[in-house]
Amino acid sequence: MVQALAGSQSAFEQIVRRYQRPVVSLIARITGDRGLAEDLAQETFVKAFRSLAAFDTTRRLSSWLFRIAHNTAIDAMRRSRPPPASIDAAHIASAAGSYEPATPPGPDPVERQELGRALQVALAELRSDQRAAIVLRYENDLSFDEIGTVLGVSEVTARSHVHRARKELARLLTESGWAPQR
Amino acid sequence: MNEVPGSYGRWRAAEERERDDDADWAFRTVFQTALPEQPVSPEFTTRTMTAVAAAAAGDARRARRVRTGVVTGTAVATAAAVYVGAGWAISLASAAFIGLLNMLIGAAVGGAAAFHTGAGVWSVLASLGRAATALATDPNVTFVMIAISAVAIAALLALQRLLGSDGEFFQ
Repeated sequence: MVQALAGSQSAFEQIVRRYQRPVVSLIARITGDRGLAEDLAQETFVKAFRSLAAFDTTRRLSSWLFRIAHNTAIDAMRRSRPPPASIDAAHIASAAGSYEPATPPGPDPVERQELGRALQVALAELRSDQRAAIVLRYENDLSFDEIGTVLGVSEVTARSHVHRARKELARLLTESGWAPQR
Repeated sequence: MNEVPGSYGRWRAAEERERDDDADWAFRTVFQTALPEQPVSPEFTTRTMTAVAAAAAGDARRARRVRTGVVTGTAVATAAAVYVGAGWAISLASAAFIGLLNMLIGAAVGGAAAFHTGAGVWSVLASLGRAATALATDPNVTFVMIAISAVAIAALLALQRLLGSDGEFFQ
């Protein structure tokens, strides 16, 4: 980290390798566009490299990178209205289905994939800040304080985003046939 | 035992019973199992580092252009200032020079007279002080001194900025 802060590109490459997967995944979940996500993640890392001098070393690097990634994704969605996440839920579902699972299949891969698709479609229906809060909380394991830092809101607001988003996901899943008791 | 439906049921049950911590915990399992983190294309790191290197090179070029612009601008401004203010500066400088000569002559004459009349060291120093005060209070000399100080400060600031942009460039 110290070498990267001093401008070393090889040290920064280690940071890219360490965080590329969560950054790409976060952007893909926010934008709902897997193809665009890698381009925006690349933009995120370039912005981060240029702003390394401004990085507060008392904070977590991951939160700082996620904040840049979140802002980059939101800017990209603003540039290309309407956002891909809300145009066509069926498109999202098919895109979700085409993803290669990163972990080995579980005991019931068919049901898991069906729930994954339903969850992906429901996620796409959420507001972008709620969607980002859910991904940061449940994919990246961030605390509410860190989520607040990334989204530029207070810890209480971040907690509220996550709570409301989870409730909304439950409602949307019920509507799509995923009853509370299965 | 299928983990997803089990966790899913626990999440929904906790959600309905408003048990936020349980819902938080159970939904994490649901999310991470049903929506695994997306893989990144193998060439992503290479492409990103190429873009980072290009950005760094672009920034360095921009910094060099800015530095060249500042140096050129400073040189042009200095040349223009010299061209426009040369006559005035020479007049002021000669006034200051004459004032300095007057002070030296006055000090030498005063010192010699004091020595000749057998006055003490303090009288000699006092006459030198009077001559120096007369020089410093001459408006032309004062102006030249202020101008020289201003030029020196401006030169120091310009030098510091140039060195500063070098530092940023090497970072």
